[in-house]
Amino acid sequence: MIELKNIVKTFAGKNTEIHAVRGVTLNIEDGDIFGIVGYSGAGKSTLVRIINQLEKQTSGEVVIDGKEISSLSESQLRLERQKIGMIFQHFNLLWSRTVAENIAFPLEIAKVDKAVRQKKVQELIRLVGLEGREGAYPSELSGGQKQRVGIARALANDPKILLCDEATSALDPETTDSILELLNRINKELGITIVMITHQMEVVQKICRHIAVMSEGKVVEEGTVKNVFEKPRHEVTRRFVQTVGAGNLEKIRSDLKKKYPYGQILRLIFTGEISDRPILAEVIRKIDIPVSIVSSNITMGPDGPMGEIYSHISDGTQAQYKQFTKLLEAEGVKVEVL
Amino acid sequence: MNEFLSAINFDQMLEAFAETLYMSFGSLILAVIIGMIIGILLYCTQTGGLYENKFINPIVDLIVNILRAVPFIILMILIIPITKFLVGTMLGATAAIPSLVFAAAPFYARLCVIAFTEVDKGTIEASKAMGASKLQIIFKVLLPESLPALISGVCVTGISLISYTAMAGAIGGGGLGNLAYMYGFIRRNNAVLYTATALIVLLVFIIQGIGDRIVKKIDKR
Repeated sequence: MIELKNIVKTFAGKNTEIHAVRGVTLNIEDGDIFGIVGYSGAGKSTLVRIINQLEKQTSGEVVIDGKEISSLSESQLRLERQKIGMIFQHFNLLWSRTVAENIAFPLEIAKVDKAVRQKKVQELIRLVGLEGREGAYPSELSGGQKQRVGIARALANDPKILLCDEATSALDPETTDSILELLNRINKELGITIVMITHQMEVVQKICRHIAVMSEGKVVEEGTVKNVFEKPRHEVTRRFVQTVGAGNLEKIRSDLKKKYPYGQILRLIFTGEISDRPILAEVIRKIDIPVSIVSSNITMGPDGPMGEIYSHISDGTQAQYKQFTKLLEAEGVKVEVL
Repeated sequence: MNEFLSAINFDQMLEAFAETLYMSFGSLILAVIIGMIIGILLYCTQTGGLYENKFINPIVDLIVNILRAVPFIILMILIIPITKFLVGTMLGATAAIPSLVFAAAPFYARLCVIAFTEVDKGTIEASKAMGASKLQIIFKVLLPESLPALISGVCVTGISLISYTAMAGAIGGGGLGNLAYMYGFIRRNNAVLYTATALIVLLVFIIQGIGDRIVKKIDKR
């Protein structure tokens, strides 16, 4: 468990002081995928660097598994850092080393025997799906492949925590998905706690379970991704949620009402905790009503489909609408009548 | 043509060429070793560096700048006492080496700092995040990642040293520069002057060619 207790970080600027982090308290549970979201300058990059002490906080405590990290000596801290992997937006690979040598680098640092090292590197290459590219140099790899090397390198010393600093921001959407899939698998298979810094809400939606929204050095909203997405309270959160299509309810409602003055418009909310069964199709088959999907934003979350569907029922009785709603709700889909 | 060739004493030419090689490479090796140490020192002690030191950095920086600013021909004269102390004489090829090293080491140190500065800060941060010690960062990240620039720096320094040896020759250092000046210019022997010049040019080309080839081979960026 990572406990951040009232973290403050102030940089001394030329004339003024820059308050990057102003009193952040967060608890990140073991095995969680925790997203820290915010615009640039919100202090999230500084905060994540305080977790592994690349930046020393001005005040406050960082406690990892009961150990106060900020009071460790230089050499103790180095050992502790070997158990905290980190990946970066620009990958930060050593260009002078091949893929295999890059992955072996943290093992060299930890003074692992060569034979053990080579075996571990092979395992990691398989894990991240880079078989056959062991001898390539970073300049010969695509962005997605480079990040895979970064992930393998970060996992080399069997860390319990993986810090991701905008790990997908330099990648195209398709590659982002494949990297997120890999991170999700690592979290599930190896039980590693993942802390993700990002400004991409869709990244949070796809893989995180908990989220903290940062603005001007403070956490302005925190909770499960589900709750924050459904009921964003803070202005910044609302803006973020809107970037993935949700949240802009009023406008969608009035647009749809104008377009479909008759029948019934429903908002179906998938919270990511339901099965992959074709729920909608099954319900429509049971009650024979004409349902059309007019707008939808569904992505696969860590546990199942997440997002919302706006559907229009062009014909039917009130009793049928009620029945339709009831059956969907029984499957865990939230239904709102617009 | 025969007349031209007969004006050259080939044994003398060969000996001068060997002296130039000896002075250039002898001082190059020393200058690279000393320069790299100073370069690492300068880079690491700068603000935000691995061993930030607000006292050592400006002092070393000042010394490097002074040595770089003094023209070589004056530097040579200024350090005659040091040369006499180290070598015992101020004449001959060996006596030229201390002044060549004094001129070239700060030059190479500066090139090293430029090379280190070009190493991606992100990779250094990543190494810190992996738990690397400061020495591990210097030897496993900083030096390998800047190797192509360090090697082309060796070439540039080597080429400067060849032209410095010619100047050292003028005040009794020996080598092709001395030959070209004493026999070629003073005694008006054009054959010696042109041949010595051609040999120096050839040497520079060879060093540059070898350097470029090595850099191309190891640069995987």
